Amino acid sequence: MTKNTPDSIRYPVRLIVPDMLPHLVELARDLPGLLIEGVEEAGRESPGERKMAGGNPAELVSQMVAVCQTYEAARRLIQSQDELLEKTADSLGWL
Amino acid sequence: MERYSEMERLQEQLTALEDLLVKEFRACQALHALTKEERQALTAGDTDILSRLVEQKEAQLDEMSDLEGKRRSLVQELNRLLGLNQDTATLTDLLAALPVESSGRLSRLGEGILTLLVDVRDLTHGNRAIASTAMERAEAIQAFLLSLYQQADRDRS
Repeated sequence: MTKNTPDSIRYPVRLIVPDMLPHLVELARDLPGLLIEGVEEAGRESPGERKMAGGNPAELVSQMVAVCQTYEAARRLIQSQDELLEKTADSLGWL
Repeated sequence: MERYSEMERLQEQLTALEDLLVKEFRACQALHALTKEERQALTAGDTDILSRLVEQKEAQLDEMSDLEGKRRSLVQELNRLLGLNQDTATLTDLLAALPVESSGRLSRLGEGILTLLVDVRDLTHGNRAIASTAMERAEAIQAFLLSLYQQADRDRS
């Protein structure tokens, strides 16, 4: 091996991950605080930008709830559409 | 006189069927456009546009369902006038019983509708898969966010 050998060969994954673990644990522990800090920073921005950044932690969760509801509504309607297409093709008689 | 009335009635109903098929064709075109837009919104993860499309599509599907029901009734009536089986009446069965000069235009309209339907169905199946995946991802993010705040609350207490 030389100094030009890529790190992925010099340092196998099983050696890299344990080294990163303390940092990952720290990140996971600090993430809630980071999120709160992040949205407080975003609070200084315009209302539109604040909305995009989440505004406050409860808003982040409620935004995700709204997103889930939109996808659920879209999925249900897609199912109804599929059924209607099947029925229409059936009554046309070509399928 | 009665036969003439029946012939007249048959022609009236055929004209009504043609008008209905034209409306159905246009409705299918509109649904095709909405379904393509839905694909773009799903791919981009744009839930604002998706929400608007859900409303538009609901109205469009209602219209198509109404037209399909009217067409079915009209085809049954025409089959009755022609002395055909009404219970299993499809547009294809009806067209097969009509002279070519009467059925040609109706046949082309029907085939046009079917071509659109096949394309919309392919798009719909793809959109269903994308929407399901997106929803699973959104639910996972929601659960993760909730777990973070629950963890933060436990740490504070």
